[in-house]
Amino acid sequence: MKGVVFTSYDLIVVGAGPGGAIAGKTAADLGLKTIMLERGSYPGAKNASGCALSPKLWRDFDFIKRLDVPSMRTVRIHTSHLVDNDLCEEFAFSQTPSKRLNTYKEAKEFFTVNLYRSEFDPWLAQLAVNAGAELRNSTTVVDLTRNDQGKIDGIVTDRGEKIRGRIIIGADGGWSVVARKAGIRAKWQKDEVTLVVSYDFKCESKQLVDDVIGDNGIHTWLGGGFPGAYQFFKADGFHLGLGDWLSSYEKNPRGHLNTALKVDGIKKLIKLTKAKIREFHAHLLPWLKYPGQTYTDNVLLIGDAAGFPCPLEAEGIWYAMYSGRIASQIAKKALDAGDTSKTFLKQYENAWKDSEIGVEFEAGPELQEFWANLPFAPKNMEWFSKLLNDQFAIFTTGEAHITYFRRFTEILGDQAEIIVPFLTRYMLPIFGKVFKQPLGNLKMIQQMMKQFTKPKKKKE
Amino acid sequence: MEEKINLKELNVREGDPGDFITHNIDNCTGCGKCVLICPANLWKLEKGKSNLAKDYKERCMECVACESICDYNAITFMYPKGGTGIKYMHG
Repeated sequence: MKGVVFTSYDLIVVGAGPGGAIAGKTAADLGLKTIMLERGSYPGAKNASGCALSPKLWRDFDFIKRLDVPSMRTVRIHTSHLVDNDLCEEFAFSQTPSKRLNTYKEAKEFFTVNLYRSEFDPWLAQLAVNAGAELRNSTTVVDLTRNDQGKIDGIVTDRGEKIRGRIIIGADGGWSVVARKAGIRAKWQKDEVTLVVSYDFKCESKQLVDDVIGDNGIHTWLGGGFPGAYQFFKADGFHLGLGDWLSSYEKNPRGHLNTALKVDGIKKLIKLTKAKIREFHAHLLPWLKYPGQTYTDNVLLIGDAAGFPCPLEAEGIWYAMYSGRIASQIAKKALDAGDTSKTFLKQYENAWKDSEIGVEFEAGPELQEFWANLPFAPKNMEWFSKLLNDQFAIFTTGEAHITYFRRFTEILGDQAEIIVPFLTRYMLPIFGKVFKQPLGNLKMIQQMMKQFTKPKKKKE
Repeated sequence: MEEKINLKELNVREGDPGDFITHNIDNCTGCGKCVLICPANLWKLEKGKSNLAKDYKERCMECVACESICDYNAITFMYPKGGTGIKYMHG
């Protein structure tokens, strides 16, 4: 290798999605010589998701107030539809953001801003470029280089080019080349990673979506024998998608998606918005109980590459951007200190654990298990949906109300063998974390539940 | 609606991605997990082994689910050359 001149940077960011762009922008703002390498022909060309931006972006990133791209739709109402096995709607409920529990303006006003990654990612990457970071598109990183001491000191592109970097940030998604080549992780376990598939639909016009959907831009469809599906409306189209852990699929993901297309309510919304399928997406999305190793000597992982999507619902963009910012701040400190060893870079792990990312994962295992075993578990959704419907349908029943309610309590008793273990296994552990008490202290509640259902347990 | 969906026509692709999936057939046990998971239906079981479609480069979604689900290291993947392969316009 003698005589070869390497291009050299303080920081190489592999991947220019939302995480990589913020890492790049932060680093450039802090004066680091920074390059972002993106394998798509533009940032966002390889990314697919429901793509709904959380109000947290408005709280934490000032520049987001300037975001204005054509596909944006602000969502104030989210409707969940519970679907029976005949793909008919059995129960539905809608929410608006809580003005009491949310603490800042945007979180009180909207749930999400939905838009396309093909518009959002380039917009973000441009901010990094404006700050002085270099962006190279159409560049796949295939390997990392190591110095004489075996420490990582650069990357190799698909064209064989070697680029030196004092620190490498892996912002390259769930299937992270950086994580693999750095020896941080070989593969996710199959219960740590989901495959998400979605159809993008083009609606007849923005006006029609405004008229039919307005700010009710998120519809989730649960039950029906398929893992929970989501429908996120953009300005003039929508994504219909679903996902499940690799360990849980018993049927082809696209087969599930095609089943969702047959749901009465979904068909109706397709018809009303005069929508046609425009594109198909498939993407690997980590969904962990708790992130694993996120750094080693000279290397930091952020966003999906670090396994940060939130444990309850796998929101990923804010987590990527926030961890990208933290990572570059720590990188700057490390470079200033002349110490980029994993001992120093542990500060990155400490920082994300101290941040809201860490708070979110306080109950990571409990939240992830709950989600996996209710919305994503068709068998449990079946009894849950019927129970919810029976309870609320008391208002419109054609029976004497008190008689109806007595029957409902009988059903509760009959199903206690299913309901009580579910509550104790998946719900109480979450409350245990909320109240910061060990589960043992909640034994009293378990006893109460047993008492409540006791009279109906007469199976011999 | 299902019958009308032609994935090849739906998705935009660019350039020649070169080969980016290798099937190490000796390791393959024919368990069929890649067949089950692939959203583009690129894998078929034939004679007790899975078999990758010859035109996979024109149909692969680059999701890497096949490699991720394989228990026997029978599938090797590396992202295609930069700027080639699938391009999401509305991802």
